[in-house]
Amino acid sequence: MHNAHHAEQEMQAGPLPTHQDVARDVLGRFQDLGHRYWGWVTVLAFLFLLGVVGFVIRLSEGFADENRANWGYFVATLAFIVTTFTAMPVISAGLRLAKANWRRPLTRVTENMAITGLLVVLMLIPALVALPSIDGRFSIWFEFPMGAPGLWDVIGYGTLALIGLALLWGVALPDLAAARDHLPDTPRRRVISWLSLGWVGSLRQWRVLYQGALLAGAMYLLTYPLVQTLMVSDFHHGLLPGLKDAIIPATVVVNGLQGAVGLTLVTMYLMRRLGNYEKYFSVEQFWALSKPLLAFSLLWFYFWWASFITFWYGRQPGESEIIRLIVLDEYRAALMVSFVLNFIGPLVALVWNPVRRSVWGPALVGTGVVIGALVNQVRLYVSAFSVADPSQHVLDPRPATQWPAAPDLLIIIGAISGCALLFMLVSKIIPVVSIWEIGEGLRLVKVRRYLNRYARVIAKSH
Amino acid sequence: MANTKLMGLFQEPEQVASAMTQLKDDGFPAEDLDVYSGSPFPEGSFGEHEPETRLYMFPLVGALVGFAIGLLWTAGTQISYPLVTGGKPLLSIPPMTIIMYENTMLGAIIFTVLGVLFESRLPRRKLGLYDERITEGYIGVIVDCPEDRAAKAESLLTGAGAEEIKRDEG
Repeated sequence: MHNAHHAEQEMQAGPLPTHQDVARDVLGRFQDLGHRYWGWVTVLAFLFLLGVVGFVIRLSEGFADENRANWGYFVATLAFIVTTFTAMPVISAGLRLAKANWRRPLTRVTENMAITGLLVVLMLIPALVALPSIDGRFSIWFEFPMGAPGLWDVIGYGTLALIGLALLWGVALPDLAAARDHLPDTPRRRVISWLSLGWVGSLRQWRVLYQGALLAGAMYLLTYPLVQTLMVSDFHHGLLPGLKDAIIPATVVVNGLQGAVGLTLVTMYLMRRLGNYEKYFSVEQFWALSKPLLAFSLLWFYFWWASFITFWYGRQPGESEIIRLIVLDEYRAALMVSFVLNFIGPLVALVWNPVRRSVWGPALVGTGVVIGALVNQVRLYVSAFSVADPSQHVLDPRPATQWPAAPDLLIIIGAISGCALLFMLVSKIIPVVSIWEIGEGLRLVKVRRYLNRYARVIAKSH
Repeated sequence: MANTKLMGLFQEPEQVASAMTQLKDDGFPAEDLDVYSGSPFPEGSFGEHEPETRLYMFPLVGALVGFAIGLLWTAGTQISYPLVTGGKPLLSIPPMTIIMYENTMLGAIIFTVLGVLFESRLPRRKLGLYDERITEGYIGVIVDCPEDRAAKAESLLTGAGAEEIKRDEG
């Protein structure tokens, strides 16, 4: 009840700010590079360096077949980043295509995460080196003689990273211009000025930006499933003898969408708490995002169940061993954690209106979803990398559960911190809230008295 | 006669709409008028001339080029260096599809970036007639007109409520 009342109050708050208010407020925060910011950057950089240490330890042990299991957690971390951080621009692209008005404050947060695509491409290279040859085992490359899978995976992941950066830069041009116009003359401003490319906001430029943002967003939406398919095929499916899961590419894409929504909620919550962005990330954004989060959580179960039931009734020797490995025995605990955090938890929590219609509720569920996503990647990828001989037809023997060693923990913490660090750094080059999109939205919204309450009237711009 | 450029700086969109109407009524061609703003307005809000762009052609051409490269790269090399494995067909279609798709998307995004730069007339080394307040919500109406019509344009802009008139010094 209290939450509902709070949400109501937030919705009727008026008068609405002007474009100038938003520009000054956002640029004021953007300009600030205080101790708090540098403190966070230092902590994240230190944690990232710890991850590099973990990586170097693994590197010193080499890539020989008998050491492949050492790379399981590294690959699981890579898959986790692809499932959460790198998936976030999909949210912005989808909501912009759908012309959702409430998206405006959060699109830039999701687009800034596209920068993590660079880390993904870097991490991909050792992960590919750790893969066994495709000769003599099942893979989507069908023993394709030319550069498979390394070259084509790099091109696929590189394309996604390129599209993400193009989307990020292109859509940020007007805000880079705003920073160019209003920041004091420092080396940072000169970089921003160069990045703004001389944007002035003419009719032609706005028209092209609009079309370009939709095109780049659509391309990101089209390329993300490709990258997830390559990831799960090369690093999971192709390494587990007896695994024949026709829907697993779709499963990991849906998991990626869930992870993206979950991490967006967590990021917005942290920005409210640590960056005082309450007025941009209000109940409206959390409430609106909680609905697709609930839908994706139901889909998480649907896809998992659809795969499971096929194996359960198939019961061929290879299938029985696989189901024991990743569902019933060695990685049962990981599945249970993921099951609770990615399905049961969101279902039980988000069916309640007061939880959905709050800031803390969706953020808490989102945190669980992100943790569940990490555990699920461990289940999928660590198990696959533990298999001694991927060229068998039936998994024999089943590898034991592989728990993380110290270098693995360092890699997980370091890679996640690296993503957060990249986000922090890019957020001081590109404002983390889109001034122009909010400015545009403000002109399309009027708060009107309607009988005994207030209502927000939103014009359709096209 | 040489042309000159003027910019009237407005705070309210209603004033801009009024200025644009008056300028057009007075014979200033719509193609010679432009509007600079810090955020986009729905097309036609000011009764402005809508610039034609062909951005959609760029990703289309890029995708076709990328697809063609992917096809030539995969099919061409397999045909040039035939390695028949177990009597299976020479061309391995499923992996070719992945590679062609990747190349299609890569070509599309590269051409889209080039298209955005070309169609936006970016990068610009100099901003020209511009005011920094535009990125704070002000709106600039640009009039490109012969020198002898500049005074008329200025009076119309001022009459519509322009806070300041700037002239292109360059």
